[in-house]
Amino acid sequence: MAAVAAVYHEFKALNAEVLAISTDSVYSHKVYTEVSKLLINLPFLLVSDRTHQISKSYQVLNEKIGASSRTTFIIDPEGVIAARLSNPPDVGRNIYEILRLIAGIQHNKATGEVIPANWMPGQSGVKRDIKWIGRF
Amino acid sequence: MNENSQHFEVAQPDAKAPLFHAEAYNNIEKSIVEIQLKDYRGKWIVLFFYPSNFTFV
Repeated sequence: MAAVAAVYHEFKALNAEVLAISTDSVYSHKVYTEVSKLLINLPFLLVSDRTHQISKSYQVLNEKIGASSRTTFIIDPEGVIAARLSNPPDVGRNIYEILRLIAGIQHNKATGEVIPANWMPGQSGVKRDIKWIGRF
Repeated sequence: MNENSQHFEVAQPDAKAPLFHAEAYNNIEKSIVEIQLKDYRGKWIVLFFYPSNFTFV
């Protein structure tokens, strides 16, 4: 969670809010921020999905352990899912990739340009044009 | 296919994000708050589902 907190300002710069969700209680969430030194200034909410309803509705509940799987959703300002990323249980997320993805989706929405592989913020996208087919 | 399948939407790109309300811990204000996803309309939202506190994200 500290990895997200470290670049929280970059999410804010993209007009994005962060919500972290687990099936732990809010009491556990509180103690988590107190015990983990890197989370003392955690700037976003830790949501408690005690009933598992949120995890079920997003289809991320691991029913064997009663916990959410390591899954990231990017939701656009109209409330539509823009991206879904699933990580394996033992491999953490690349937070920079999530920032890049938001920037890419925003660039696509703003310009209509499509976003080629390994695009980075600040670069231009690609105009939809038949002449570019097969060039990327 | 079952009789409910037509009402079932897979939570993937282009689907409406399922709405929810829940308790959350606000570490800035050191308080327990009630939140609703719909209150965040107009902003991009990133949901980080994670298995358990005290583990990496």
